[in-house]
Amino acid sequence: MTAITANSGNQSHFEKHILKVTNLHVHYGKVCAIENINLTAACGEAVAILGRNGTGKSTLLKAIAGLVLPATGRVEWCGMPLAKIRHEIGYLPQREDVDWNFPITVRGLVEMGRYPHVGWFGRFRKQDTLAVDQAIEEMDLGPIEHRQISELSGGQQQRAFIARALAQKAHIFLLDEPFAGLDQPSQETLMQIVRDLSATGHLVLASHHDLSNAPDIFNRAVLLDRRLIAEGLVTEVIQKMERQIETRQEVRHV
Amino acid sequence: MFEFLQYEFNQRALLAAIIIGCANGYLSGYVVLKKTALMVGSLSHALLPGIAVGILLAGFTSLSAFVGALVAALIVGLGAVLVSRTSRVDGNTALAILYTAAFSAGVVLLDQIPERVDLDDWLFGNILGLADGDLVAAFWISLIVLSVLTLCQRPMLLTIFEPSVAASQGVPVRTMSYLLMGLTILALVTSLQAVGCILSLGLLVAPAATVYQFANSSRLLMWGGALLGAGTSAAAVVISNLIDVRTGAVIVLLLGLEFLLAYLFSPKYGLLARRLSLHPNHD
Repeated sequence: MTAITANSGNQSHFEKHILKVTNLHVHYGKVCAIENINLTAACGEAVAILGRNGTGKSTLLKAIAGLVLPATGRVEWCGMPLAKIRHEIGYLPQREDVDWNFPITVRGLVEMGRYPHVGWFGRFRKQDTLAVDQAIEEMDLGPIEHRQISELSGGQQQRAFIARALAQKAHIFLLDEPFAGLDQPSQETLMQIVRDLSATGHLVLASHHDLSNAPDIFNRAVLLDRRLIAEGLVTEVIQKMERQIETRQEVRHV
Repeated sequence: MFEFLQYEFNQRALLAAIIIGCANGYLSGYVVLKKTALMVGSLSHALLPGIAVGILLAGFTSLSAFVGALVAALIVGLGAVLVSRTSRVDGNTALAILYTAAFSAGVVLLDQIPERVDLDDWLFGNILGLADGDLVAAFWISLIVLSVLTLCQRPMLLTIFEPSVAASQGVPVRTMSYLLMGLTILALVTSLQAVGCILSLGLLVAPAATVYQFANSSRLLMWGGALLGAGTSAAAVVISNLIDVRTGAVIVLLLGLEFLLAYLFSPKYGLLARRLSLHPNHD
């Protein structure tokens, strides 16, 4: 796998780009999915969103991606509202949310990443084709670029969606349970990809459930239970999470 | 074999079959991807009362039948949306009630029109009865459908593949859905005289469903569907002339046969290929 190209990459770059989530509430009908989320993250970071099932991890990612409308609150990138920075966001959906039988090849999927640049009706220019080629190469998808997306392994499918975000020249990578259902070698490849992404000045936010490998992949974590209940270094947040579970068990025993 | 083409009505029929087959075949790609075949079937039935009312109000012309059919399809389609939003029943239930009721009204009404209207022609099509004006209308409508769809291909496909992503990138997702529905109704109305309102569903689903057994790109699915729809419809005109049966039925029968063959023998997604790859030979 070729190294991922840096988005730009000097020190000042790391200081400038900040994702700021302020007072975010999302409701589905009458059900409150997440409330009062305040979060700041800068490019160069890989942030794990931890929490049990149904605690709003996916919803938080979707709200940041602009896929669900928040009831209140703001998402800003470098001080600009979300609506103006759509092209900066690459999103990897949960696997069961994708129609894998859709007649599209790996290359076709990666080409979608160029739509925000060429527009809905524009022709692909040289730089667009180049960006697609580069993304395919970086994710090591060259030999299978003409395969239909259901004919890929789980790891290849994840890489194809990440390649789409790379072709888009996205700055923020929102990954929804990227490691779920992958075999060990694919997990390790993807771990390296996430590390490379943050090292090259991208911001990665990923929902994650495997506490054992989280410290190896991410450099920060947040713990979610509809509200944000902890935030900090991955190991700290995991310790806090485990303490919570212990307390809960003790309460049950009493 | 082709002597029949010296008659003008046969030439018109052949040309109409190619135009209508092409537009409907192209559109069938979207119907298959969007998985809305049964909804389209309901709409095609809803055309019938519109035709009847159109003829009763404005006399027996193709135009009055077309406009009537268009209005009826819109009323039933939008009516179902309205009922489902304002009651406990879901959209499919509402659509089923509305279209069967509308269809029945159409049967009753068309029986009231004494001369010149053959119910069977509207149900199963009569491509030999086309006038020059019908052909011109079919041509323009097909051209509109094809141009709009090829122009809107990217936003339309993204809307079907990932609706929420499309919306977040600024695609007017709801407008796209309504646009597709509107174009589908237009295509249905043009295919009315060729295959009739019951069989028109076949032409709007089967071509792309057959190509789907082979194609791995959406573009191939659409254009393959168009080619298959046009070719099959043309072949059906020739065949139905040789053995003297209803052309509309032959079109849909041929399409069904093609699908069956593709379903069984497609080298990649066919039943046989799948069976063989599931039970590999271990010798």
